[in-house]
Amino acid sequence: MVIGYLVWAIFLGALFAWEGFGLAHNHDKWPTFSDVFQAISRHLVGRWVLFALWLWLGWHFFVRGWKFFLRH
Amino acid sequence: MEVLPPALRLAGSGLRLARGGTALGSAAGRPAWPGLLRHDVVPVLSAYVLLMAMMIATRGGRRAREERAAPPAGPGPKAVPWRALARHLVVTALGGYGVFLAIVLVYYLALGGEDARFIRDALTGGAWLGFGIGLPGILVVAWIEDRLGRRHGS
Repeated sequence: MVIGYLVWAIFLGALFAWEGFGLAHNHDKWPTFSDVFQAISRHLVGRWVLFALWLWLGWHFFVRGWKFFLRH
Repeated sequence: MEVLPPALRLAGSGLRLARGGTALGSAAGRPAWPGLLRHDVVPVLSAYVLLMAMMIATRGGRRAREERAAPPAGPGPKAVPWRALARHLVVTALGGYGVFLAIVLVYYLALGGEDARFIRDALTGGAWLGFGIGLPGILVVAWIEDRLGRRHGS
């Protein structure tokens, strides 16, 4: 359990580090996440995939397993 | 670790491996490689491929994208084309829901072995989130942005 959280903490930390580095070094080699999402959103299928990932994330964390009026 | 989906359980499987290899060989002597592949390797590999595809999609340079995306300078705020925006959102939401449907069917039904009730709950929950909350929410945010833009523009 602890190792799982540790791996997730390292993964999220790496993502934040990437974003921070991309914002601090404003050139093409380090695209920020907004750059990535903007590039993907230009294409129809890219928008579908992004919406599906958002839907999956929201469903998984907020909807899955819940009943009407949040009864479990 | 049950709270995590199959695609996010790699860390958990790593824990199982570290605790004496129960994920590699079960107590009954049956190899657990197929399960490990279905529940951990395939989802994480998919996420990796998706991430790489996203990075490749950004090739071409940030400056070139900014130049393409720069709106033409014009006088005053523009009115939101509500009909076009609604069509754009509905097409995006319908296509996105289709991809979500494919994710649920492939990763939870085919690979995860979930039952029909779970799949039905996923599809109704996803529909509620996408069309009941997401779509109206974006329209409300666009309306607020439009109102604020008109107020500051006039």
